[in-house]
Amino acid sequence: MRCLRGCAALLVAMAGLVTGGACSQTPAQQAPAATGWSSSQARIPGEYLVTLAAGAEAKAIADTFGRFGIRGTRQLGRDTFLVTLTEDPGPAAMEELGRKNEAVRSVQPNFAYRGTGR
Amino acid sequence: MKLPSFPNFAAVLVATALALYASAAPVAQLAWPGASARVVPGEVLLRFKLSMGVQQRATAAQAWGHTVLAHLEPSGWTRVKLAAGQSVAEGLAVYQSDPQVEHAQPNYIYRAAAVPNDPSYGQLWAFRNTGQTIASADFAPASGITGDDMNIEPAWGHITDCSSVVVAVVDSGVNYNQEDLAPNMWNGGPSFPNHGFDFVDNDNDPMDLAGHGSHIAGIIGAAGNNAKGGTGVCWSASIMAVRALNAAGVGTTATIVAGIGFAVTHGAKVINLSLGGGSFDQLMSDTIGNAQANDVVVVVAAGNDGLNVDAAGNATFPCGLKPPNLVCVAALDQRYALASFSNWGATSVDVGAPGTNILSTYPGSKTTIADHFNAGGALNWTTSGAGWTYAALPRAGGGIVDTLIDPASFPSGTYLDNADNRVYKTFNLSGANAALLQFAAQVSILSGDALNVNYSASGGDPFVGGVQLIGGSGSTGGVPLPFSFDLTACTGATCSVGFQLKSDAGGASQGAAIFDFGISTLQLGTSTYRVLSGTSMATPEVAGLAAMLRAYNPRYTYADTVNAINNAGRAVGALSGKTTTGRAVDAMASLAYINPPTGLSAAVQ
Repeated sequence: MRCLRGCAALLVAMAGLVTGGACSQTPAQQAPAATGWSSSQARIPGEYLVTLAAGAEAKAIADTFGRFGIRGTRQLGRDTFLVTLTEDPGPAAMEELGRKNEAVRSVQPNFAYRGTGR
Repeated sequence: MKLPSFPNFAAVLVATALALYASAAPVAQLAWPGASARVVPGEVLLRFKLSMGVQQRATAAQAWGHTVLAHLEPSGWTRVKLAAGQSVAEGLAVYQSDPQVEHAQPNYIYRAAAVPNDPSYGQLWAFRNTGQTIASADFAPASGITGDDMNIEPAWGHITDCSSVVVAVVDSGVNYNQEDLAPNMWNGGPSFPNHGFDFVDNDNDPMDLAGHGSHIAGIIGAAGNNAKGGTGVCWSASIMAVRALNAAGVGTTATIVAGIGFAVTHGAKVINLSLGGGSFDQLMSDTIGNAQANDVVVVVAAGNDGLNVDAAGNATFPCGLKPPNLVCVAALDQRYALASFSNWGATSVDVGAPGTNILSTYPGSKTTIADHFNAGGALNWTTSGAGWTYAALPRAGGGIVDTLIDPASFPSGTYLDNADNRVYKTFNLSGANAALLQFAAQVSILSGDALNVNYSASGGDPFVGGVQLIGGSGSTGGVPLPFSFDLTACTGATCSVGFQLKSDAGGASQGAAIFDFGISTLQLGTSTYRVLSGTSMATPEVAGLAAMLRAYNPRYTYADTVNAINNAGRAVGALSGKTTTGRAVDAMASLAYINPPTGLSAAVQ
């Protein structure tokens, strides 16, 4: 029998997290869409937060991650940038690349958060 | 080592302690609530050990040169007059070192408990629980137990104006035009004329398009005693609106850390974070650490999964971070049971606060357009290509659910290769200030194929010049999941929404089922109020209290504030072993709490 399971105890879907204004170069309605329908998504696909070492230039981002196609960057703090990629290699590959470049202090996913009202 | 005779030695210790105390940083000044004539001068109240009789208590007081004024039976407390010229601070310090005394406190001067004239005040059980039934309750029980509340009315006898302390609501924004919020918004000057900033759209208009943030703002500081709506913990407040969650109530590390940074930079001393995520987040941790360095209290929600968040795999953040400036809050119901949805954790969650059926401010009226995909059993959406059909399928748990499926044999069959199947419909969303697309989907799409969801503000086929909301391959793991998307950019008369299943020649999978489809719209207003439940609602009860404490004690640091919140609460059985303190917040007790001196030392010779 074809049957859909009830929604009462559903996991919180983390899709639909891409919001307007993620990239300074990209108008809100043209932000890259979240890809994939995985139930385990807790991050925004293709978006990473890159913190550069003190004194490093922003071009280190393109030097390190440009191979994945940089759709946009936005400076969040003195050394921290939100970087949006065309192709998402995954957090492990991004962190590995970051470790290999001394201009990059850290790389992490852009995690998703939800309001805790019911 | 032989100690000197007790009273004299102790007096030396106390004198030393006070001297050290006075020379410490400003925070270490004796600063109990009421240092300026809010306590009876020359008197203290003592609770001696239970085994001590009336005569023993009198003798113990006389040993310090004090006189018993009254034994307050049956409470067991003793009212004591201090030596001439001795301050209350000195007297309390004496007894804090006396092993015969379990507790010492000033004899506070109470005023009549203050009650605001707001017409909905009787519904605010968090502030006065009379066992009342809450109208439009969304959580059971809808009535409670008298006295199970924040004990805030006595506190209002001392302070209702917290406007000297800026509270940042980092959330979905705030409707700063709402009648009960407008008087209490942060003055951001000419740079921030709308009382904050929007880190979702990167502009200076943090208008709330979801509802969540405005509700939270009202719990902290809806204007009190203005004969409108209800009141917040603070009757007067300074609420900074920081928009970091979109109209779907979703934000990211990027938007939230930017919001926290803005709040800290612009002087907020309390930050409310009624939000959570499931991953440890170093940047979030660093940002809250920076707030600590700037003496900011951060109050966060425990989350609504009904889980022990201390258990492996259940952690939620930022609640799971443990900097000393962070207070994580669980939700209590109207009978002071832990709300069934509330997360808990003996090492992660600190206190409980009222979090069910909370009436507060709301940005406007919401309307939901539900769509069932059919008319008389026939699909009534426009299709392009074969594949999408309507089916009435049984829902686990009972009943039938109207469903959009591709292929028609979902989930037993597979979709076709080389397909480009589209289905869409145009909706009239004119007049709405915001819109939210919601549906449930069970999806299994092979890599290389895609299930896309698009909209178009021009109507018609949204896969021609439209905007993609989500797309690609993947699986929901054999279960349906809820999805929601901000559709605010489509709030016109011709907003089309559609689904596209596109496949290549390389094989296929089960396809997709879509159901529980709806578009909810928000029309902003100025006088809307609503009842909501969640740890999101418990959190601002505590954030408001933090603001009250810091307004009452301007020299309080984040540490003093957190201590007063955590340590002065009321022990509640439902929180024992489930929070770090086992306590529910108690506004008057926190106001009366005396932070113990720190950094004291004394040499014994």
